[in-house]
Amino acid sequence: MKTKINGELYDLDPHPLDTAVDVIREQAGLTGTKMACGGGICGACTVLVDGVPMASCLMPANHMEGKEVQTIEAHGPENLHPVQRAFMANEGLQCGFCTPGFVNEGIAFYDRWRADHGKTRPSHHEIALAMGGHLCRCAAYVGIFAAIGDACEGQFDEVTELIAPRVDALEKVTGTAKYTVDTKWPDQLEGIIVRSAYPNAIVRSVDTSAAMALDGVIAIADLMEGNRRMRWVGQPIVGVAAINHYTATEAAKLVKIDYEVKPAVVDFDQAMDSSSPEVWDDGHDGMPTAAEGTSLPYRWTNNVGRIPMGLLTARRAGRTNRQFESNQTTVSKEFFNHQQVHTPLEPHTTVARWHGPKSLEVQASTQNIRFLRHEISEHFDLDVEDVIVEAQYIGGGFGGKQGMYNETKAAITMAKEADQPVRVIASRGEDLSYCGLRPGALIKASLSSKPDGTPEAIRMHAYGNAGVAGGTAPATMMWAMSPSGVSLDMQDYAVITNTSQGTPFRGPDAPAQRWAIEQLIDEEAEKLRMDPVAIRRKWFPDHEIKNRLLDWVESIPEWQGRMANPDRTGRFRRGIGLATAQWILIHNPNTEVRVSSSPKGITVSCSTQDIGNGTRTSIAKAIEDLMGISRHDVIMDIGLADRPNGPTAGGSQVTVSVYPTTYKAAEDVVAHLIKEAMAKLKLSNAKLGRGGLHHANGFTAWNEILAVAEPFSATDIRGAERNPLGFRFAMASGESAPAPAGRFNHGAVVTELEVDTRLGKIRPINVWTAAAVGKIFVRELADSQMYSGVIQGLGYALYEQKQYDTQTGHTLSYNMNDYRIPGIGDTPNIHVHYDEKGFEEIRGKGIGLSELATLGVAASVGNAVYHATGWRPLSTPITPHDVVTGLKTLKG
Amino acid sequence: MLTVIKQIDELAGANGEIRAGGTDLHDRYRLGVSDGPIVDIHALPGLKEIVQAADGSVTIGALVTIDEVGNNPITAENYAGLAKAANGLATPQIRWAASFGGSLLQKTHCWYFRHPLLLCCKKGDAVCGGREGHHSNGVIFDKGGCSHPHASTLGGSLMAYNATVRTNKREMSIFDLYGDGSAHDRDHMLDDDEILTHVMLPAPAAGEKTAYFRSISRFEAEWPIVECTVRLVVEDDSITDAGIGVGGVSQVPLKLPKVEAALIGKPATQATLEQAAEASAEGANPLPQAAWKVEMLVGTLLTTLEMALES
Repeated sequence: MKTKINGELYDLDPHPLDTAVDVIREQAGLTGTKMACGGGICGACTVLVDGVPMASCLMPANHMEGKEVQTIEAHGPENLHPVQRAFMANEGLQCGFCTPGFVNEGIAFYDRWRADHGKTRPSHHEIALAMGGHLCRCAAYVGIFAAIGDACEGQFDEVTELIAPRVDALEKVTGTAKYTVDTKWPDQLEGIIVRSAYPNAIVRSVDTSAAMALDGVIAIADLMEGNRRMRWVGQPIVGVAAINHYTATEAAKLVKIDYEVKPAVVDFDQAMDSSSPEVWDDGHDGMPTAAEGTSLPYRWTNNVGRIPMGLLTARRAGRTNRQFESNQTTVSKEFFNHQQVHTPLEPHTTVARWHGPKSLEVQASTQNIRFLRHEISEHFDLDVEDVIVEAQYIGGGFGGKQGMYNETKAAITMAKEADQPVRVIASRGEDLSYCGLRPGALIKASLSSKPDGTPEAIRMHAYGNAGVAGGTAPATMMWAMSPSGVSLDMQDYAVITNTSQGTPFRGPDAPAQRWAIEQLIDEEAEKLRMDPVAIRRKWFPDHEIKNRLLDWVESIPEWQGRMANPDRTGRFRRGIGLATAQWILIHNPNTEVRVSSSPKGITVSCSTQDIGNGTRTSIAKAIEDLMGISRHDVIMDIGLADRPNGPTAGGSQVTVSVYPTTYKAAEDVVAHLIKEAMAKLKLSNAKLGRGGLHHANGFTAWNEILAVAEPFSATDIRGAERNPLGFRFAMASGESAPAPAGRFNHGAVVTELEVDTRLGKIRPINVWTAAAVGKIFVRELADSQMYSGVIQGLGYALYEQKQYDTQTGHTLSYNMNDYRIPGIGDTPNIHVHYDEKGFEEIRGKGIGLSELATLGVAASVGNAVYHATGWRPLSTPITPHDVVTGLKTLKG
Repeated sequence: MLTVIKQIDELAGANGEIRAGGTDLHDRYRLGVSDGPIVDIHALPGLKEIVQAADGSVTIGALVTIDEVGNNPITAENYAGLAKAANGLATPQIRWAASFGGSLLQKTHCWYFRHPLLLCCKKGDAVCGGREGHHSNGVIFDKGGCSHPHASTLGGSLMAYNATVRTNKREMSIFDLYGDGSAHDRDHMLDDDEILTHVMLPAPAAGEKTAYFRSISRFEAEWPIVECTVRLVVEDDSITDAGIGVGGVSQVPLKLPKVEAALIGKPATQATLEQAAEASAEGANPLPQAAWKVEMLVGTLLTTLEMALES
């Protein structure tokens, strides 16, 4: 089959079932085209076929015959399209995995728009309709709107210099960034995991003979690791490695597994019932945790585990109960949250190869290369120095790609068995079913206050729904964040089901906890006839930062125009709601950054990674801020686990860990360069300037100095933060473990929305979001995190829900039609505010904001829906079904 | 495994699932719910045209893309309700790639069907997994068997226009293409060796007011909870003709004659629309978890009627 791709004639030989993306990636080797959803929903695979954007994951490969195909590689770094320049300049991307698809669609739209409308700006509505076939899980939609608008208007037609806040934007808009899925080693096999088809069963035997006999199957590896008890649908049993995906799939179907099937519990409500089949009936030793680190011990009643920490979490519980009973101001509600799935557009993927029996090389889509190397070396009994772990580009994580997940173990095990490299890419169905989730929660909450709104007693009994795992702790977190002097009755429970385990997800536990408490505060305010801001001032009356944020809320004109008693008639009803939030200062005190100078330039080494959060840019910006070298000229040496110890990309710890450390190491390099310049260039009185050194005879640029200076390296270690009492917390047990510092960041979010009471649809219109995190290191990237926090929070509030068939334990939301993440058209106007005072004693003067950005969003939506309609949504997502049935109860 | 046919008569000797645009079929392949051989028809001649006859009637080839149905002047001007529906479904990329015929014959988008390990009577199992399991987006005019609504948006739109279809073997009405929903293992009534070749629309009515609308949770790109295509002919403030096709409510797309009857001959007022929309709920026998959708049908239809009248 002859096809022209990017002007070059290819002679291709597609498999009968191949789609265009398979051939473009695997045969033509053009890996800029990404496969993400596999169902024509997300658009990551978009290419232009005779100028028309096509979802290449659905387009039959043989339909390319005789056509002109254009992939992202048509517009390389030397041949950039204005749309690419606009994406870079406007932060229209984060992890970059969806970017080639967006750019191709954007180019086609730009051409159509220019032909019809000239150099004018399309509206948000027009852009949203044109981009309707694309999804960005990082939610860079605000930047994408701006990029496409700017490009159509002609703002980038003449631009030739590189304008990009993000240092790896060029690689992402041109498709040259290499992700784990793009790895192609010689003799590489495709691995598929054969998984348990039952939620509770014992594997009696596995017969792989028919599968092994299939031509092209190279190895079949046991993945049970001695544990034949299956506790969830999807638990790995064996791995099949074959010469291609089709053969592996066919062989997987030939694996015969004999199960002893046991009764299972899939449904959360059923698991609460003490007569349900016990999931950990043989003891809880192997029970995983949904939390980072180990979870607290439980006392079990069948499937419900209670964390026995009454003394800690119940301040005067007896008095609390009496207060709730006698106090007229008591409000009580039961809140519920469904599980949310991370849905990174690059699925969970690992490629592994062995170099002899004790030496291993791994490419993994991971948020923590350093910790992953440690886990792999422990699990496979290897010396840490003999394990290479690399991740240069990671297509999104959001908490779901931490540690050694099943696909990683499977690839390594199969590669050993096959003695060939093996790539395991979770299918979209697998990724949505088995690869982690934000636990659901049932929270029974009560609040009692003095007549002036000062809180007196808070109760939060939280039942976490993390599948087979424990580790959820919204109530414990609420305990840590409650005002002093308030009576507390806090209790966390784990409710165990035969479903896959929960994992950390951006701000673990906090969105559920905010969903409950922030709505309860509004309920209390209504009962006391108080304003929502006024009551919140009573919670921390002396807290300067929180009060400043509440001042900011009151400065929003739409908030000022908020009606205490809105007109709740008519089909479309508008409402506005507030929520506050806070998150812990987490940093990695063992972060070590090496800055080196040589004639090539300044190189920064650190074993950390960039999942789209902007790690590279935070590091390079520190050099730019100190030395005046463009961040784009800093040579980045990250993504490899053997570099100096770096932080996990999670928990809002990256920038606060790497920026000050890079800056300090660079100061030592500058001191060296000054010395060298004075000695070798005979400069006198040399002083640091922007881009070089000022001296008695004028100014000398860095490149002249670097050319003559002796190469030099300086390393700095971040060190631990002290808490406000002056202590250092020592929770960091390993070099990769993050440490909290007894400090919180603070946020507030206000959402204005419209409820269509006839059809149950909620349309967010405006979101104002504020973060008090001290100094903002890279404004554009901070904005991107704030935007994406809002949009992911809206997904949690309105659309996203992992759903199970409760009979079989299979995941129903198995594709991206049925697991719904926010699209570009769902993006409201987002207004970001930073309060930069109050963290001066922190090294670098600023702390992380990524988790904070999403925590209160759902709660603000809940409060806004109530404001609009008088009906309070108690569970997320708030679907049209919930709205129309909920409003009916109101009428009744 | 792959047979590409260039003439319709080659169909007789070919064995496999018909592939036109491939947008439904490859989704199913990748989800692991289909692995059979393919008969590719995208190169068949004579099926990519939209032609208007002297009497005004229009014939649309089955390989015409959905985007073409939405934007070709012949369909956009004469059958605006159909064109609006074509432009309102899926995403631009799907509309550029998917064929008109395929959009009528596509398989259900039920999550039990599109999961390789779940039971479904359309996959040959004796029972419908959703009926006993999760069916909150299920049917509200239940015909038994399968619990999920038919996937075709344009099937409902064609009912509003009383279209007929042609195959390599026969001609039949759009209603006969789908049957009454009692054949629980199928999405249409064509034989295995039969392919849809053309859709015929009767001569258009002048001055038609039309609308298409679907209820979803997000802004766009979502399978409908309920969807409606409406065409109204209004003369002297009175509705003289009406066509109503709905989707998302039954195992087949439905025409709603009772609603049409409640409109025809009535003044074009809000009260008429509301009464007609209420009439859509008549005879509903929803699955338990889907009962909320009866109200959604009434609301979605009322919205679409209002849009049509304002168009």
